[in-house]
Amino acid sequence: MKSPTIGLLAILALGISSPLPAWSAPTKVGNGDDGSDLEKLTPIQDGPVFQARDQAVRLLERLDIAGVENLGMLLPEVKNAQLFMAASDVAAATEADQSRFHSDLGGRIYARTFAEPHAATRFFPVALKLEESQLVALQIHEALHRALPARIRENEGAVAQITLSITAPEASRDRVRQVVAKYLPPDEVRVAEDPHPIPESARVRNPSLFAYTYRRYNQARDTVFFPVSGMHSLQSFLYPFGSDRNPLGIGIEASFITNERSSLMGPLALSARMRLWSGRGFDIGAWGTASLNTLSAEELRNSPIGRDLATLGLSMRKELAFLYFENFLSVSSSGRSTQTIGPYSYSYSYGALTQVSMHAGATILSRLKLGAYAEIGLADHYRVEGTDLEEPIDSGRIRLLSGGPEITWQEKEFAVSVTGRKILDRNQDVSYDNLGNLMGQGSGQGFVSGSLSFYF
Amino acid sequence: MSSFKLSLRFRPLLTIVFVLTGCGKYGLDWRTGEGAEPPPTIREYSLEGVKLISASISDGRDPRSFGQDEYTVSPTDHLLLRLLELKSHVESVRLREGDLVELKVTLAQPAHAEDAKAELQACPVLRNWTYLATWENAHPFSGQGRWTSSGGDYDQPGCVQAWKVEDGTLRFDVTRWFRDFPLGRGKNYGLLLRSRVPIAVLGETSPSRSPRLTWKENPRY
Repeated sequence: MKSPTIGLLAILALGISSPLPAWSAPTKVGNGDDGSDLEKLTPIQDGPVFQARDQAVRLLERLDIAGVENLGMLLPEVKNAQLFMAASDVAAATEADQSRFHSDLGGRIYARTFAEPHAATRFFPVALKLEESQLVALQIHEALHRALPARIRENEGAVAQITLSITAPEASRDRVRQVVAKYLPPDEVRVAEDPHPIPESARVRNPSLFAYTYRRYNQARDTVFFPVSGMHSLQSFLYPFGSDRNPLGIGIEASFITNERSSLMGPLALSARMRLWSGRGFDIGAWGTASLNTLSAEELRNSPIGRDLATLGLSMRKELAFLYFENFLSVSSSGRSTQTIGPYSYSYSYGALTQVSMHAGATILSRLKLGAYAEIGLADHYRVEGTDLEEPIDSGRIRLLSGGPEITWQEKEFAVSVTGRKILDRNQDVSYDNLGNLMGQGSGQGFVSGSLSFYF
Repeated sequence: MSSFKLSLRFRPLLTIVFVLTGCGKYGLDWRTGEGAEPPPTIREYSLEGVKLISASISDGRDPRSFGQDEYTVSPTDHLLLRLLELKSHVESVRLREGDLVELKVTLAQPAHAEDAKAELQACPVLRNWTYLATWENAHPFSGQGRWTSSGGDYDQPGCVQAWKVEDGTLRFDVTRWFRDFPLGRGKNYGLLLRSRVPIAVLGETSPSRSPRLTWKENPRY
């Protein structure tokens, strides 16, 4: 009973150790998975191959190879890998086996290893004919097959190039780093680590802006408040400070007012600005703006809208593959302006203004953005006192609901957009004039605007 | 000798004493026995708030609508009139029986005074208006400044015609308006001058014949 059992076990053992047919498992580069070289392996504990490993270790330590990205495991693999000597030579079975690091001119394999960490290196008798420097290179080459990232460790060409960069007479750490980066770009590593990488189209990548905008206001036919038919503005927002994810800058916006009779120098807005790419992939903007009438034309300073005001604002934008969403929040200060017409003078008092808006739209062909927005403005009050007014005119709290379309063609470095705004609802018969924010909400019942912007 | 005979003997002497001491003016009237008031002061103020609102003028700052020598009042041209400081005089106005508050408007062509007397009306204005008023708007500061009716909001039943013409000047009795608005409600929205036919009146630039309000003032003022 025993002999058949033993025989069966022997057969099984032979079956395990017997060479596998080539079609039953893939042949790895530089490795003898055909099993023929796994027989009669003798551990190497001395001799030229063993000494070459020490040389290789010293070479890698001198190059400080542990500090090179993606080669952190190379030194341990060289130092700690088991070395075996096969009893007889084997011939190169594949084209990759025939590389200069794996076989001689006669096609006999110098060494093989499995392309996985901690595998042993198997040397063949023909390797003993190699010079010491060649044995050092061979040790490093086989260790690279085990130490490099999986996606490249079986690329014989890449492994050979990296081996040469390490073993060349003029080898240096920078040179090794360059060669490794050629096959393993550093950005690929960072992209894999950041769950919300900054896309190319994000404003935070090109935060600086130079833009021209023209607004055409829709005035009520019988309104004689302060006739403003349009406004030209130039914006220059530069972000020289901060970082790529959090740029900081200063903005200037100059305006030019037009009406049916003349053109006037309008308010000048100065701002401090910041952009931020959040950890959750939102493009955030924040700003503080002071709109000043210091340089405005006299006619504008002596008008209901000739007041200075300060605004704090915050925007949050999220771009998806085919959609975008953006929220705006801003608070503008209260203020006063005066106007003298003939023998009479008027004093206009504007309350603080809070404004929120929601923008949403579709992105088509990654450049065309078609969307719309809704905006609510809440002002504390609007009050007029005049020397010829029997009693002050006080509107009380003002609520304005506005909205409109927005269309943008956006390239990486420039954009063209068209926007419309119209009052949709209000609690009193007021207009944007009653908010006193020409640079913001503007004038009249609404406007249509077009702008051309350059980003950098 | 009776007291009656005594008073008769001393009447001339008493009269002299009353005159010299002024008692005849402010003290007892010896014939009626009642206190005598001094004659009231007549106040007359030129209206500085004069504004033409016309269907043909849409800009409140149009120079044709203010500061003119004369204005033509017609069905499409109304004249807004107001004495801005009237409220400071309200308490001084005497309104006894027979006392009037009058609006005086002088015609540019006195020859047509009788026609004007029949056509011109002064009406109480019902809305707060300003220098920038137009045919459509009492003021431009908000949408609430729009007149309810084009040409101005006024109290039709309160409109009055001139009760007298003097030397080309029409006199309107606006006492009721004064009682109802500046005195009663504390509101001085002024008056509106309208006419069914074109009538030219002198404007606020005339030194002595500009539109004006006149009243009698209480003595203590």
